[in-house]
Amino acid sequence: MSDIFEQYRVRQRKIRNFSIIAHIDHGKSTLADRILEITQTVPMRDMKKQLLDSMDLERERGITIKLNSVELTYKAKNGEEYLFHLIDTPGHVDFSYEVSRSLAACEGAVLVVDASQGIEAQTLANVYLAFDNDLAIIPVINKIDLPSAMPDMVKQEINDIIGIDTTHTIFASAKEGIGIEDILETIVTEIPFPEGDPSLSLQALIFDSYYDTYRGVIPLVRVKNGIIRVGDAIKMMATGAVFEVTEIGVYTPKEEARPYLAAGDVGWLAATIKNIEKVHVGDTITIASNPAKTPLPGYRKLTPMVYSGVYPVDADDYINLKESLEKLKLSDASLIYDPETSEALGFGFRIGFLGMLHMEIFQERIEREFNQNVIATAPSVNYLVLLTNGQIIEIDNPALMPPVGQIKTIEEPFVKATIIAPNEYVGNIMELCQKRRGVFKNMQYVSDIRVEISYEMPLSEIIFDFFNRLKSSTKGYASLDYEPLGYRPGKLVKVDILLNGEPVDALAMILHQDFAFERSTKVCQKLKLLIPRQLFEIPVQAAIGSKVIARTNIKALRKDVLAKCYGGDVSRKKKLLEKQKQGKKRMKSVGSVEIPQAAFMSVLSLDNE
Amino acid sequence: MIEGLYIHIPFCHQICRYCDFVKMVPQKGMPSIYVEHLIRELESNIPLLTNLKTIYFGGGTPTLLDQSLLARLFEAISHRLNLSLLEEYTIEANPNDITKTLGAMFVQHGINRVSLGVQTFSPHLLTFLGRTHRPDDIGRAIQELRASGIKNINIDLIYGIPGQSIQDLKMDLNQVLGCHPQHISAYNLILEEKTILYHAYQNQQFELLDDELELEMSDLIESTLLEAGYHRYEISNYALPGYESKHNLLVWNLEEYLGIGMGSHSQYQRKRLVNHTTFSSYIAAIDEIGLGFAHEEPYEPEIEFVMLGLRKTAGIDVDRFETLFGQPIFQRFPELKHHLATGLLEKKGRQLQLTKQGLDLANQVFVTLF
Repeated sequence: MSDIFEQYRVRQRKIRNFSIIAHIDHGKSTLADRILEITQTVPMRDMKKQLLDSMDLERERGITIKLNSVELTYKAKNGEEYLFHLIDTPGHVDFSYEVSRSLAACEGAVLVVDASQGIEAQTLANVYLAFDNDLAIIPVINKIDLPSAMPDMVKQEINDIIGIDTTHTIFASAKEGIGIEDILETIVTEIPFPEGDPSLSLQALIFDSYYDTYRGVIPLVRVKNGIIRVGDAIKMMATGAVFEVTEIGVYTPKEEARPYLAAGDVGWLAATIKNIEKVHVGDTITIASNPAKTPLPGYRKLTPMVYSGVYPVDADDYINLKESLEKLKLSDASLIYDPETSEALGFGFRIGFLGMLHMEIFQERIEREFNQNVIATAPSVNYLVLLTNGQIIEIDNPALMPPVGQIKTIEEPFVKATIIAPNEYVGNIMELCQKRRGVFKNMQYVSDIRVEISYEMPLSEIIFDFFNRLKSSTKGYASLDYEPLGYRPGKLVKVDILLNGEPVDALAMILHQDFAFERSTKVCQKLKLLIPRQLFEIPVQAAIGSKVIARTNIKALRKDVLAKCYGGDVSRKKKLLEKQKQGKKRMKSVGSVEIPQAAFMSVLSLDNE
Repeated sequence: MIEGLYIHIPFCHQICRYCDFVKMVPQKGMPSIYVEHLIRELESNIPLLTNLKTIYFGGGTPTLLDQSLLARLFEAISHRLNLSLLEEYTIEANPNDITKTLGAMFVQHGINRVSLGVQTFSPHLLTFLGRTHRPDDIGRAIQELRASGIKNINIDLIYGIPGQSIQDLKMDLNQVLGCHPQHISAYNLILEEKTILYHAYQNQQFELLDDELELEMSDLIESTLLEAGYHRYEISNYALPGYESKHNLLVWNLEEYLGIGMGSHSQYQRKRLVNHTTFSSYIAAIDEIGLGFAHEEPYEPEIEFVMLGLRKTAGIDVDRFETLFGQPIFQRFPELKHHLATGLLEKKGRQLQLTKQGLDLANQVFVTLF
């Protein structure tokens, strides 16, 4: 007896869902372009370089931030046609939860490793995520056309560190179009078709979402069981919200409407969802009237790792900033913010970020896309403070740290940092990690010349410019990944920065006692460089409680005058003065001192460590 | 009413490293073509030039033109314009271009003021600036000008030159005073963008002087010149009583002036106009319409009245501001009041002026106008 679901099952066996896992610059985008080109999913004339990365910012930074999924048709050598879904993943440690959800939407992953660079820490972390999701892994060694390529050595590395069978490793050059067909054939043969039953209750995994001005939030989903159709009333299992599906479709990569998505399918849906808070990556969509018994595994609420205060430069822009944050939140569900006030900076917001890159991207977007002129304070982690009265409070803003007398202990978040680098830099890396209060845990060779080193470190040490330091002490060869380890007590103190005798709350820092003097001195020096000289001398001090531990002075401005201004100079000099005025406008007056935006981030990059 | 005429001669023997004016090293034949076009531009503007009190030849280097071309220009001016009201007729000159006959020709055509681009007497600093004259040229040039009958001489000085010491500056001041000029302009070296010097600075070929040292230099200049009987009437300008530059005072008093020649600026009928800045476009414009005008720039009389007027040590008359613009000055520019408190400005009767400290920090006051 043929059942009505048989047609879906036949189709399901031709589906292959996969991601590409690669380190930044190892060629993921180029390979994706090449695959699209060969399957002629995109006509050549429409090919825009690196098609999958849709935001400008992504293209500039060469990092995929927002996920995308593309459906393409591949006619294999066996004569059969297959339906591929290429699911893109972000390539940065800040977004590892999103990566894990994207991988959960796949049955396989193409692991791209640069033939000259070898495996990086980030790649390794993502491969482990792929293992967690039981994915079939197809190793591809890319850029074999480069003179520096060492494909056999890299193959050995994959074998040794990852421990997967590398007999089917494909040597490729996405740039030159070498090996692409092999990759496509291997996807057909090595990646299993999706399991799941179209006759069961709907379980669709949300692995990404974005905001469309006209249709609201558009979740991207992988249907695990059941079928979803236009007109269905759907329910988000974690948030409980119910919506009616108005449109369903796939990307080819153009948006294309479809009547349904069945078990094994990957696509998007529109359901007039106004509030992004109702759509959580990792949540399961089911049918409201016939819900699945359990949601899909693996869902968790995102928690920010770092916090920063964000304030409008001009206090009158507070409402504008608030509206911009609301809009930004629509396309960045992981953004978490609460209003806060600062004596120095006025009304603003404390914003939680998944990591430093997330924070940088936020700052660029808020300035570029929303034209907001903002001041961001140096990032802070979240501290657990046990008070002498037995109460435990959380502090994500150093300025709010209670007085020393009320504190019993302070705990800070720790992470396990994994670094992979050529062995000649081991000394430098260890020195750096030790300076950052790192506790050495392990070191192993991943190949004859490369090592993996792991340290347990306070997260606050990682956010203070650690990655840049690591890069510069290893000539750019080291890669870094970290995962949270929970909270640990530390000898931490709050350091106030005083300008002209007045503490500036937005500059307060929490430092380890043993480093407080050295870092405070550097911060004072840095502020001296960043704060332009003003009409009066400005003492810059760092203090723990009432005890000053570092100080310097910003000398008074003595000369600022245009030597000549004759008939031919007037317009030009006016322009110069206007420019000077614009510079002043971008500064924040705190008391009588004008402070440039950069000063608030000064603690982040302290030279000559 | 236009009372000042500026004539720009864009040619130089060699480009000074700090100069950001419109200038070029001429190819053969260019100067005479240029002079013919200048005269045509002058002729087109005759109706505007009936009340001239000042004429100023600037550059570039006006004395790069050979004597016959200069004579043609001077004659065109004296034959075509009514000069009965003319009080000051200045030409800028390179010290090594001055000869007795040139001086005599100046006097013959009514020129009564010569401005010499001296800059410094230190040979190593002249080299740094890219100047071609030698210290000896200066005394000789002044002697010959005096002998020819030029009674009003200005010396341009530059201080704050990388490598300059207080001792170097003292020597410069002694030399200048020994020349007994009627007027001295002393400019703190500015690194203007698009100059050779700026480029060299970007490439870290030298370091700027510490501004404490520059301040010491500007104080030394002021005290030395004051003692010698000069008075400081503008941020960078000193004169013996009665010898202040009338032409430049027109600019600082926001009076009208007309500029002719490549890249020259005019301010009249509530407009700021700029001439074409390249040789070919200027020549083409004159050929076509007889005027060198290329574009207009914003005229903001309230801002300019204050920004230019405060450059003078006498400052600005606050009542006159209110008469001209129908609003009290402190209402229009409230932040000026703040600088009465900071001590950069002071008010003496109706005059609002920069204090001694304010003269060194004038930009801090001027930016508040924008």
